[in-house]
Amino acid sequence: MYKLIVQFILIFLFVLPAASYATTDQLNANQLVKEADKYRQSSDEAKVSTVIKLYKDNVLDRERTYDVYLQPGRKSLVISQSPSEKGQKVLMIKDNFWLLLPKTKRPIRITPMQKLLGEASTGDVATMSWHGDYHAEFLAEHERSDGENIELRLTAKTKGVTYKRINLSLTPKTSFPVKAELYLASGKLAKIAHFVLEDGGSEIRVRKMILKDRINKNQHTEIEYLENQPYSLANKYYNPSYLAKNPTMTIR
Amino acid sequence: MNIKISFTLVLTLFCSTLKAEHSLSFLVSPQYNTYSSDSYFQVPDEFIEKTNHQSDQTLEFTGNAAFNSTNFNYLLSVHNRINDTNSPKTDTSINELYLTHSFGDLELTFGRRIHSWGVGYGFRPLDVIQQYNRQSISRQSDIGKNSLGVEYYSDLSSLSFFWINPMNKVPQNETKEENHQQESLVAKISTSFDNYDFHSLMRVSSENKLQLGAGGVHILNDAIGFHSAILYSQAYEKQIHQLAGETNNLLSTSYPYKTESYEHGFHTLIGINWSSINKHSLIAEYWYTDFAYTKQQWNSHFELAGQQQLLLQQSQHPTAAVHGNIAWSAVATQASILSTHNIMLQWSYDADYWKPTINFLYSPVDKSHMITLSTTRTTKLFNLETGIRHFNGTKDSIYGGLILSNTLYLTISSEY
Repeated sequence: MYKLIVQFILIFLFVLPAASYATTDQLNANQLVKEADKYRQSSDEAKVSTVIKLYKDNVLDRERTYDVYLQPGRKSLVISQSPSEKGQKVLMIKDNFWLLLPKTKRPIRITPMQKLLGEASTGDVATMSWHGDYHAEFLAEHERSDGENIELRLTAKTKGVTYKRINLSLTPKTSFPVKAELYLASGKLAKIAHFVLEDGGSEIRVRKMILKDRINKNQHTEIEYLENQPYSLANKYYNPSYLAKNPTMTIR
Repeated sequence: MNIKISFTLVLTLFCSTLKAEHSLSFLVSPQYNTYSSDSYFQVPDEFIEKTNHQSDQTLEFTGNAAFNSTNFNYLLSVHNRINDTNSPKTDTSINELYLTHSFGDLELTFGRRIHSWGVGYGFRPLDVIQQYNRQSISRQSDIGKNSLGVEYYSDLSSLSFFWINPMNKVPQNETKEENHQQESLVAKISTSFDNYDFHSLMRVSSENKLQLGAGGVHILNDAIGFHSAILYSQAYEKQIHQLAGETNNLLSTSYPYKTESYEHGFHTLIGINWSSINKHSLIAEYWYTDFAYTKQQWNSHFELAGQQQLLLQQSQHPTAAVHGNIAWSAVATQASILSTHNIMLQWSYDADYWKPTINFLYSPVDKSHMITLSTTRTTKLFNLETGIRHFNGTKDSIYGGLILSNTLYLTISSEY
């Protein structure tokens, strides 16, 4: 009996506080991710105009422009504005995706893998935040590669995300994202993202994301955020049946 | 300048003065065809046009303009065809011209619109308003249907009612083509939940009476999706050659096809698509349709055309009359769906610059097939597609019996 009481006191004194510390730690990690996300998406409902530049051997190969509309509840609508794929739209709602090719006049339900087809991964263009899709935790000391920054491991908690794991580095004081290693479900490192700060202005935000392809190592992509403003798009635009409307896509 | 072209230009000028968005696309599509010399339908060129060299040029004007909750949309096209058998031909079309007015999530539509509702890649049973030839290599836009509709959108669901070709009465004895302008009423529900998309519809028309359809898509995992659809038609029609199956009377003095009505027909489709992280994609589909000629009906057509060919060796009948009748027999091969049972396999690879595709369409009823090898390339300014299509089978099979045996094509398109 005496032993049992001692064991109980030991558990109470050491294990439970440790467990609660871990929970607090995880909460802090998730909070840091949320703060880092604000540098890319300052408002829950937003319109982001982007230019995607694909480089091969450091020479500009292709350039495409997209408008991305975002809404809470993991909703995003990507509309291509480049002449060669004008009117092409990808709707993403949670883990579900639809593609509209302008001439087909009908939305096509696509798999997460089909979302990766095409010239620029639509997932890379439309993903402006991580906190809703990933659980965050601090990397253990032996896993850290960088002594200066905060390093987090993000593990996907939803099915439809392109990258199942992300190792994210943030600056200690501002939580500005510095680097993200993006891993596929197979565990393969697919891309490494570097973030470039907006020059000047009162608001600090990400101006550019540079994605170095680790599978095709001679390729890298620059995603430049030209315009990022709060914008409330009517709910019906996030309905797959409504996608075929406005073929040239003027959203008013 | 004809009235249609004038109307198109005036409309485009009017639209360009509005605060709106407009775009212009061009499409140039030259192709080279070769023909089978041992087809049962083989006749001299004056009876069936056989162009070796052909080029289609199309300009499409697309746009929309908004006034508060009202949207005006249009798609106008000018199409020119040159070939080595006829003088150049140019025509204009109003593919789409419609107004929509929104009352929140409720929307009213009035005008000509392209309706595409189906599920599937090679064939879409639920495209009840207008059925496209999915095997066509043409990239031109279709011409919509005059319609009056109301649509309601809620979260991931929509409910639509359409009155197609309102008040358009087509006389009973009109051809099949004109019959497609028939009046009909359609109701459709679409909804999405989790990994499922679901569509159901009901259509009432004089030709098909009652049609009921349902279809859906299920995303199994990151790489695999299933799709299927079924459409029931209370009545349907086929153009039947009145001499097919005859052994004595082999020649007709007037167009020999008559519309025959059938009851209780089905279109069914089942398919799977798979994509890999390495950017390979596969689509496999099987579809069945009662609307195509059965194997027995095809056999009758081939036998008739074969016997008509034998008449040419006799001197009892004028050669022109026999050739004309063979050309009429060949009309059966122009149907958009040729076989009742169909299997389609398609592989594509989304490479950096080129997207090669192999499409294989197989008719299990007679083991004939159509194979298309193509590749597309998207550049900053234009899209390019080039390919070759080959039809193969015995001369009394659907794809082997066609007069056309190979097509080499190129399509260049761009939008501004």
